[in-house]
Amino acid sequence: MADWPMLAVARKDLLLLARDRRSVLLLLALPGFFIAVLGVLLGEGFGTKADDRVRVSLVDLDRGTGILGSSFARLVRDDLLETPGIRVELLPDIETARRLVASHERAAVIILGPEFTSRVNACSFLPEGINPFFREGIHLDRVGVEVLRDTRQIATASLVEQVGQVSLLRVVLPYMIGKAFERLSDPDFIEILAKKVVLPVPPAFRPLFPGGKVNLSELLRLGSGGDARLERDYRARAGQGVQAAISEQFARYDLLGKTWAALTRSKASGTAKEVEYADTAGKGWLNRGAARYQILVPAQSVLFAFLIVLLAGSILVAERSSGTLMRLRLSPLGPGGLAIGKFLPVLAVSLIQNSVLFAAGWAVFGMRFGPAAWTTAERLLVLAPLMAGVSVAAAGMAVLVAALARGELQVALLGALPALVGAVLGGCVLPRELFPESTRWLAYLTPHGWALNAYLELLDPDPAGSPDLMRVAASCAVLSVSGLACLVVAWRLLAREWRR
Amino acid sequence: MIELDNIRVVHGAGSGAREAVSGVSLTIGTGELFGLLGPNGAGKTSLVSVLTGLRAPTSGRVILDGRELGRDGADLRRRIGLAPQETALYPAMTGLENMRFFGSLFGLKGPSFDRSAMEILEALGLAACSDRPAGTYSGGMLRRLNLAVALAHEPDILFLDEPTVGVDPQSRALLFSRIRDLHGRGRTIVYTSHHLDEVEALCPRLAIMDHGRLIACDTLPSLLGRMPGTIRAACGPVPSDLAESLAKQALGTWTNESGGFRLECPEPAARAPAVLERLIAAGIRPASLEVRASDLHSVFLSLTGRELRDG
Repeated sequence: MADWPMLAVARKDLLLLARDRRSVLLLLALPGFFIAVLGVLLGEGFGTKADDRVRVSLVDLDRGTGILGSSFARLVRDDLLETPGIRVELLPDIETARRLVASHERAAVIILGPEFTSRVNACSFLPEGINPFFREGIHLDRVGVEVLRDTRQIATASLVEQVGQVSLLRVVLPYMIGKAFERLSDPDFIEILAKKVVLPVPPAFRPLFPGGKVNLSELLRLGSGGDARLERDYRARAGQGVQAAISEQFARYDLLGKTWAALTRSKASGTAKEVEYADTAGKGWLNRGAARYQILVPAQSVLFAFLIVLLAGSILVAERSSGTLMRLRLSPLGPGGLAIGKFLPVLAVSLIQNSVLFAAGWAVFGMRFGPAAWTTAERLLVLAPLMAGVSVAAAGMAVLVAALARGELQVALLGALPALVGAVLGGCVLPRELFPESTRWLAYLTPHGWALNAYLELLDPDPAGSPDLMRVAASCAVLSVSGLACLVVAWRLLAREWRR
Repeated sequence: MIELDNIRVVHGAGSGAREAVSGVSLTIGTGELFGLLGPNGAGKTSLVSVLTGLRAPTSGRVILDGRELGRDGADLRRRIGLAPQETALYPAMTGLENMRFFGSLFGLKGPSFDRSAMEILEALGLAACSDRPAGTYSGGMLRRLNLAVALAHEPDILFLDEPTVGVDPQSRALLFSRIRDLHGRGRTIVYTSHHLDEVEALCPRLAIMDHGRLIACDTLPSLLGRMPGTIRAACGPVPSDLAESLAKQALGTWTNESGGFRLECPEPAARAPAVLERLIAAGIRPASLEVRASDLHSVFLSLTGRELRDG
């Protein structure tokens, strides 16, 4: 194997590249420089997966117990999670909330205070209870809720608050209705009811009721024959009867339910997952650890991996113009040997470039590889084939351009154009989410798009996220096949040149 | 033995097609130092490309020791070395690294190959700078390294395409010495040049090409013999009967010039003593006598009707 001429060509190209220190520096340092500049300049949202849902950030300080064995704050959170189009982010404490609002990173944060459950418990339609309602919804201060607002983002803050208001209403109102309905069987209520229900007495019974009228209370007493126990029983039955009648009348509602789902006899269409707050803005002047590096590093590595096309193209053009290609053609190397001999060093350079970039991404920019639960070995095991796939695709394209181009200008046009257009369409330059939905599919026509898809799947900014490894594997396969297909086409082109 | 059978090379296609080589047939013997002479654009390099197997002829065949080149290309190419017109080298690699790389393409490597490579470099006066990048070499040194690399895999057929372009006289002398040495060791060498003096100095047999056509192919003496030399004298008037007799004797043409005469004849050096003897006998003592043998320049001029041009 060591005697294969193609390996000699590959070794020679690597040696020549290693001696061209300026090119090596540009290949390795330029992407890192780009990443650092963009990492410093770009905002917090860059690099997170596109999420069109409204983010409602809240702090849950409520430790009370309301209904269903949980706090009312938990019910509010669940209600938000069941609301379509809402993303619930749970902040760890009020200090974090204040900091995020002060730094304009959050438009508003809802604080569910420690008294929230006990206050909601005290809410009632009864005069002695807390009346939480007013024209806009719930009096937040009456139920121990606070909303921190960023005065620079009033519209977004209002939106968040309204979302919170609706959820609070859906928690507080059914609870109060349920509690009120329970009171229909309460002796005090039956007493009020019995006294209020006054009926005219038929003429035959008027001797018993000289006023000509009787109320329900008197009838129940008469019916029980003065037996106090029996009279209480009759009163309870009356209360249950009223409850049953109302329930039957309003059969579409469970008036005793106390939750919105029970009251309206409805089921949520689905529930989202609550997101624990994670610091995605990063630290220090480089914003080390910022979520944007999760996309910047792979995007730049993909972009620069395919710019290697220019390097390989230039090397083969130089071989043509200097006459060394003639010497290679006179040797037993053959067109296949030349294609593979040119493919291997580009593959090696691309792998080195990618490794250096990702190592820098980890060491300098604080990026993570895969979910927090993964071991280092697992991360490398998944990342390595992907990097190899990207490098195979880049090296294949490089050799194809090299086989096609006959001069530096052609290298520039044939190499830079697809490399840059692919980078733009693939989302390496601008996040793909900025493109209209109707054009996003174009990314799948480029190796850049496949590469970035897989990287973003793997380098999800959410440490709790779980990558779809089938998607990563599919991208690896597409990249490898496209790279090898380019290599075969390059081989055939060189063979034609060989036979000419 | 290399046999070229009616080789034709056409560059391009359609209306832009240009015939670079037109029906060339010739034979180069084993161990021969063969010259291929012609002005730039005569088709020499195209013919060398066909001879080395770098390109297939549009029509015709190249037979190398009975086997057609192109069909049995792979192993035949191992026997061929080419020092192209360009200094086809890697400037960032040292002289020895260039040798090692091109040797490794033929599976040659290790200490024994290094020794052999150093011997070649030594013979071409490059041993002392073998560890320097080729990019730091002078033009002459690059030409020598170009030849050294062509010799790296010890081919028995060597094609040298304009090997002295941009070379200083010292390097040229060294190259000539090395080429003669290689020829002396039995290598077949095809030396391509547009310099008449180089081909004349090196090659016992040569072919002359112009506009893609082979216009002559013969040994050097035969080619030179085709053209008369000149005996020119500064003297008083020569009687016409004597002039006629001398011209007849020398198988030449007599021309009276002001202050002397010019006699064009074959092998002028051999005939000059007899001419001088008869002039003296007739009482004519030339103040000077110039004898010029025929040369390739006059051969080329006579064959093409033109001076050997550079472009």
